[in-house]
Amino acid sequence: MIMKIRYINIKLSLIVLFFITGCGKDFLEPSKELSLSVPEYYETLDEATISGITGNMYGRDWFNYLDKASCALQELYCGNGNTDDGAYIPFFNGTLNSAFNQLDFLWTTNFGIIKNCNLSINGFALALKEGEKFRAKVDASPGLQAAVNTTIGELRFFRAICYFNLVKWFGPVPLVYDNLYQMANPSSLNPITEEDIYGFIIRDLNDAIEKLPASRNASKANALTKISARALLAKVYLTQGGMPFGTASDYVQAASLSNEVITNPGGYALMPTYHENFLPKYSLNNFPEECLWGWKWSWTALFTSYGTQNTLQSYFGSSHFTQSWDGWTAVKPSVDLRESYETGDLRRYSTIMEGGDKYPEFWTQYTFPGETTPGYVYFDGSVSWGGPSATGMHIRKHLAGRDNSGDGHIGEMHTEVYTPIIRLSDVYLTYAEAILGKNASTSDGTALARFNAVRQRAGLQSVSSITYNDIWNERRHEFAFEFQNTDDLFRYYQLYPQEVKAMIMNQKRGAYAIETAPFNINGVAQEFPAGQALKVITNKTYNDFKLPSVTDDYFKLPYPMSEVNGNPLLKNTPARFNFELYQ
Amino acid sequence: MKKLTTTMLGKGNYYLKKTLLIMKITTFFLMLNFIQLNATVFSQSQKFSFSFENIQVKELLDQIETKSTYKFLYRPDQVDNYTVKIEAKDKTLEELLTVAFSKSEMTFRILEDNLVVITPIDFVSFKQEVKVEGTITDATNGEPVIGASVIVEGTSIGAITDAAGKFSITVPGLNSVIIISSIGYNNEKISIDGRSVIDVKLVPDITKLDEVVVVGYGTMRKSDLTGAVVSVSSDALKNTVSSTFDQALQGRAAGVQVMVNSGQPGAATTIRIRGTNSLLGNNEPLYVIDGIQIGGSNEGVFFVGNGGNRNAYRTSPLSALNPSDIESIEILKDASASAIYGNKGANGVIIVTTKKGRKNEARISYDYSTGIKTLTNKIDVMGLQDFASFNNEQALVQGKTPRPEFANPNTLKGGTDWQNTLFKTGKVQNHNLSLSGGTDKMTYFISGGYNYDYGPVINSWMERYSFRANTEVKMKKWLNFGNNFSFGHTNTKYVMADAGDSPLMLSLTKAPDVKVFDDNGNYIGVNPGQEVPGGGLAQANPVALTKDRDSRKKKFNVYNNAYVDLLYKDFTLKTEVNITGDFTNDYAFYARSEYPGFINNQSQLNEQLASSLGYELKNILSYNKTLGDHSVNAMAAHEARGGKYQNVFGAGGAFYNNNLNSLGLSNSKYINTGGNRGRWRAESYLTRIFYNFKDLAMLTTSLRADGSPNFPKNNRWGYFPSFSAAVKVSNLAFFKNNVTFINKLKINGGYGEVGSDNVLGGLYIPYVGVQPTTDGGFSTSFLNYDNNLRWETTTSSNLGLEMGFFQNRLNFQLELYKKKTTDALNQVLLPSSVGSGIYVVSNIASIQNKGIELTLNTINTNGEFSWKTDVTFTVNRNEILSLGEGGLPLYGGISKNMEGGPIGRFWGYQTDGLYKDFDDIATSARWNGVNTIDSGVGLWMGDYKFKDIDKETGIAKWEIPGYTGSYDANGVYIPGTAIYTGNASDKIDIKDASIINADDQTYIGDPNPDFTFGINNNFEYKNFDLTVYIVGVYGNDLYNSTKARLLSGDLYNQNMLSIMKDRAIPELKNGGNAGNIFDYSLKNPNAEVPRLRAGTNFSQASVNSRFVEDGSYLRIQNIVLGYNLPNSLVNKFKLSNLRVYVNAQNLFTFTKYSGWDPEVGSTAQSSLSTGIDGGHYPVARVMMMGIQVGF
Repeated sequence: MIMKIRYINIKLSLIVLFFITGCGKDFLEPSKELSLSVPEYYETLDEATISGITGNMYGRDWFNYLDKASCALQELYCGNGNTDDGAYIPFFNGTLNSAFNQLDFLWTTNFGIIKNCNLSINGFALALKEGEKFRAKVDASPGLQAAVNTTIGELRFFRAICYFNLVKWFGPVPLVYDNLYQMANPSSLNPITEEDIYGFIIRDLNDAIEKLPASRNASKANALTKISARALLAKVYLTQGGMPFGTASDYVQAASLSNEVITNPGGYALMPTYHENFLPKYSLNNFPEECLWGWKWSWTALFTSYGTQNTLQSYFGSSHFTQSWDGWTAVKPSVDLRESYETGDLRRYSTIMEGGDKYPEFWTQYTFPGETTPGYVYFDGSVSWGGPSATGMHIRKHLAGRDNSGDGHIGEMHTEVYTPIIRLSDVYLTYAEAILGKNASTSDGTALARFNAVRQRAGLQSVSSITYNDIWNERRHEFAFEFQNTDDLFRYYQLYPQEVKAMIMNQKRGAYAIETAPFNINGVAQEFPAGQALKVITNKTYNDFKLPSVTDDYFKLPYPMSEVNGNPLLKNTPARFNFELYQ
Repeated sequence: MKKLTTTMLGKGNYYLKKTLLIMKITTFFLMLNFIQLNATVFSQSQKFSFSFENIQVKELLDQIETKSTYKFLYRPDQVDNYTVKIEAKDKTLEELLTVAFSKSEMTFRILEDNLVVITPIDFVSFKQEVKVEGTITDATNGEPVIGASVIVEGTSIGAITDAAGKFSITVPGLNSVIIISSIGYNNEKISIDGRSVIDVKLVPDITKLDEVVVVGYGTMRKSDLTGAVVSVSSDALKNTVSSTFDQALQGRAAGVQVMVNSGQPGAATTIRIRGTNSLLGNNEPLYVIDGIQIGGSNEGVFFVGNGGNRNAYRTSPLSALNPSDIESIEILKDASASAIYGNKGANGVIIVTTKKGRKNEARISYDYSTGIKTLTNKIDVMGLQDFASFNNEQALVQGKTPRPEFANPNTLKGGTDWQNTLFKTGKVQNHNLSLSGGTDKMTYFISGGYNYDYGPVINSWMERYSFRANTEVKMKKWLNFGNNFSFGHTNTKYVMADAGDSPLMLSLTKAPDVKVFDDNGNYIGVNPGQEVPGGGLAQANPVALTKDRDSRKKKFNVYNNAYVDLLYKDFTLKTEVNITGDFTNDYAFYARSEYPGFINNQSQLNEQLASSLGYELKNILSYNKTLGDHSVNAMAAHEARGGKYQNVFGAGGAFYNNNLNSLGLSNSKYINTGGNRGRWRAESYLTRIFYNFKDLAMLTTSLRADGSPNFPKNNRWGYFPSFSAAVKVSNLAFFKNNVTFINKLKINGGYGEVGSDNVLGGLYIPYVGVQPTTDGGFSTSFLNYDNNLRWETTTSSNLGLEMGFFQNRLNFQLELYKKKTTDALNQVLLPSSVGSGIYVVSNIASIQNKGIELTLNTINTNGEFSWKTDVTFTVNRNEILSLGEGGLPLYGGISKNMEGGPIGRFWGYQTDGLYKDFDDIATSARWNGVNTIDSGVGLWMGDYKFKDIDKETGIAKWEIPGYTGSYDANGVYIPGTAIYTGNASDKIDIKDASIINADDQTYIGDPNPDFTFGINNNFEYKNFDLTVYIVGVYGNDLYNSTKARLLSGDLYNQNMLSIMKDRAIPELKNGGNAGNIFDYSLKNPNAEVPRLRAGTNFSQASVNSRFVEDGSYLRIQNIVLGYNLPNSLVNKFKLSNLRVYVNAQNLFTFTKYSGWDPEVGSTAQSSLSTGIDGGHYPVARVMMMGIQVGF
């Protein structure tokens, strides 16, 4: 009997035992191997990791703008390009409406970067104020302190350039400075007047100028400096100057800031030739001295990393150029742009490829008779899927060639060529424009000197007087396909609306009806891909296309429809921003 | 376990205690107890000690039974009231009983299996004894019936069949009648008639009245069920040829919709049990294989090349399981049944039980089958002559020079049938060998299988090696131990489908004048000198592409389920430890390749190694008690699950050559690696109580508490109750006495809640994502979150009626259900200014499913020729009740999912015939931005017209160069007044034209069927059996985007459908003016295909009703003819059975659908993109023959 009781007890206790072996308190805590909580994040920051905060803002975060929206807005809208591709066409043929998805990319790219800037700027402020561990660490290490300073400077630069883009393109937009708070308080997302957004941008840039490094670091040539921030601020003042709320002092500020950049360039310099700015060797951290701010791209063969690379070659190039299935010639130079060049303008060659142009910087597997240097030779139209370019030209900028041609990694839809956004020559022209201001023309000596410096490098004659139309033309040829010209157009429109509308209405946006013949070298038909005869244009007839109507609405983009659906406050009258809310 | 009070053996007066009762009603679990009760040789030498002054014999026998494994067979009226005096110490049973019966008229005999028969002395002694032997087999498959009881009618003489189904019994007279019974079979009553060998075939009891079903954490008599549970027998599975068992479930169970997503061997199916519950979460059911939980969704397949990766394919998570190892499948459909799986059970649960060994059996069986797979239906594309004529017409329209070799189309000969080059006869082969058996203490089932499944698309296949070892040991009376181990290895090669540049699509679009190979045996993509067709890889050779783009997946799945049962009185404590290991290797290579028309000048490789190691710990305490009319079965359990996953991937490119392509040999510039790791966890407490009153009324309640790390702390635990009840009306006395033709009537109803935590872990945490940048730093991003994320909860109610007529010759089951998912996840649009375009996922939506399920089983004829029919019929209606505040309509594929309709409806433009003439164009709505009536760039007769849904006007205006016309006072064009002048400066300006733009899209189709059904007919005659199985789907729409591509008249040098010939053609009247629309007439104005134009037709480029087709079909899914060799013949070869069969699967499909196959399924198992045929890998026809041998 005793045995039996024990026997039962053993079993009973086993039963009890199993039921008290529940799981520990932390059993259901989420996995921490891939992410950090916000407080943990600041505690673990050090000099090495801190600079990474802005890493993607130097390139990857801009991908959705780079990929197609940049070209749609900045090149097709202002008449530099021609397309028949649905991904761009509303920006080309005057049918843009708020449902077109490239508008979303223009909006979300900038607001996405703003979000990450806000979270980090506010996070740093909070961590420095309340995070004792972090503050102690920063106080103890001058290196860390400098890194924090630089990073905040970069963040404020990025936030400023994003708001600058948004206000230029859309006018009044919500001013988001604290996403977590504003997410929970949607009423704070009323659009803010353009004037206050400019005010916000100027505050950010002044802080950036204070915090960023003083000069260009050759080993990390893409990094932002005070010079970059001054150049941007000069452009902000220049743009504000033309706005209804702008004043003459804005032009003074713009001139003074750009003058400061030109006279103290901090290691930046104009490249000896224009063309050198667009060599495929400039990639990753290797930027030319002329570039004050640009996007860097890198690519990997990894399937998950789509978006870190430059895709423009596959849209701009021909399949003959890329020698692969990409190279769609989705956007080509417009006839209007081509015809606007003065004879002898060297920049045409660096911007537009035409029959007979030779580019030694591009490797190609085909050799052409009589050529001693390897390189790519363009013949009329160049073959692409679906035939030669309908305008008989291809865009030259942003190309990298085939693999082996340059220093970058190159593959289908993947190159590493950098994208210049602010070049030093831009600051030269900004100075001239600031001096011109609202005057009909200027003959100011310094303004002329700087304007002519840009022209002379392009192989053109100096001028003795500058009008706003001269500025427009010069900027168009200096920066075509560098995603500037629609911004220039909008700025121009603020001062001369009727002239600008007429100019756009009269642009030659059409294309050619083309006849072709096999492309022969020494009587031998050339083929690419193997088995496919290449063809050259033998005859072309221009069919003109003009925008049916250009109204004042043309010079401000509609808010993306999805955004209006998500934030009906966008229909409201813009409000003033309470700067006390955000110190 | 008292005396049996119901009549077991027909009208016999004799009662068996325990053994046969258990035999009749036992569960598998109890079956093990039964085996335990069968004493072994060991127990025959067991000694007993008793001391009773005056004990009833009956009581004494009970005492012995409780202390031993003996069981007694007697007639109670002969031993009642009979008392004995026993004074025994260490006596054997024989000694004990000799004493006990010494003064009575009773005697006893101890038979094999410790069965003791007690009979009156004279009964045994004076009759003429005859020894009878025989074999009892299953009438359906000829397999031996083990453990069947053989009783001589009117006596207590009995025997039980052995592992070979053999019995031996001594009957009291030449005219004795024996009664044979076994679980799940109808009883047989046979007169000896002087024979000494009697072989009996038992017919399975179709009604499965007392079948035991697995209900999750336990088993239950089927007749006791109060919730919606359906069983699918392994017999049904056997008849379907598929490499994964989920495909075989199609049409087998009402309420379960099985869609085979692809004919690619090893591809996953989409299974919806009672509809779709979640917009964003996973909708696949939970699979529980021998207690191990496996999610129904799985990872995609990598393809490289053409700039992207495709993962429309999902690989089946079940591909490692050998279907022939399956004993039974139970599907838990309603919440009251699946609530026990709380956090994973929201989409229903499919419980798979694998085969176990049986006592006293030593069986070797070998199954072999082999067959061929072929394409069922070819798509009618143009042959060479038609293509040549068409190409000439195209050239004319597009302003190209017609190809000289096509100058006389009618003289052309030959041409490549590209479908024939891509679809070849595939092969299927299965080998399965199993060893099973057991003793009283232990059972085992060991099996090994090899299976391959090739085609019918060339270079697509799957191979599987599987191994399983299931054992159970009775270590002590109070302790059982069991282990189920399985290993599966699959190796699959995929061809890309569902894409414009897939080999499948290319086999349709490739021009028939191109050959597969040139004279030197090299591939050709485009004939030299011809214009390269545009668009993706249109220039590639599909046959070459199946090799050049090589995507493979290898999987190793190791599962082990170990358990210990501690038995104490009415309690059982089961402790279960499950270990799962899943290892995957993905390999996707795109070879460097160049042939006329095609170049891929750089090889690329993506590889991934992934491992996932999981565990489950379960403690289940159960309690079983019967007191008088009340019986209770209660269970409480704790469960913890978790695991870690890790994957490493690498990419490389520009390899030395296509063969030296291991990652280490990549050009160093293209090398890249990545990977991630993490863990998952879940914890649950659960309890269930089942109560049965007199077998009349039954109640089940359950409650489960689930914890998931996918939610913030305050929402981490979800509580899911359920309640269900059933009344067996037919067991009521008045019913029994008054209704004769209905022998079964059961009504059941239930209510319950089930949750789903199927959201991406970490969605609620305000965290910082860290990502390496290319310059050695790390960038960070802050993610959006909803800090109130919680369980998606599905509440369901169920009402069921089950009836049996005419002694279960006709069985009928009807179930009605309603399910509502609340707190369903949906994306909330934050203004992207604050949320930067990332949607926040919140619990805001609700979805409803309602349905009717009908099951009918009939025995049409019985006897030597038997014919049985099983019908399942399913109706489900899905509706999105609410997308929630701020919730966005979800888009998937071409579906737009909004409130007030089912998930998955197609969204696009409604076509409205063709424009017939000038006035038709001028006065109809037309495409936004198309402002001219012109055969080149504008609209023209023979183009598709679209329905103007929103009647939006005033935005676009007609400006029609070359025409003049007149207007009314309002400036509106007067039809019929346009005059063509050929002078572009003359313009008609028709104001306020109605335009077609994005706002004119509407619902154009619904991929959800009105109903689905399965009809199975089974015929048997002598040793032959024939199964005819038909499945059907009615009332669903398919979007045939393959057809859209195959009617793209602008794609030059690409093949199209033959119906292109019948397109609308504007014909210039004699002497007419080219370009003047008034001088043309339209041939075939009602054609399906619009006129050819130089550019894309609007009806081609947009999603529109033109390509919506009726997806209904009726399919002869299987015809199986089997023959069991007679025992006399089989025995000669020392076999226990031998069956041969032929099986034709997917023999014929009745459908109006014009694609390869109407069974399109869903893309990536998503309910949001169902029924979209983008060049789908079609399901093949399989012709099999097989042999099953048992030793």
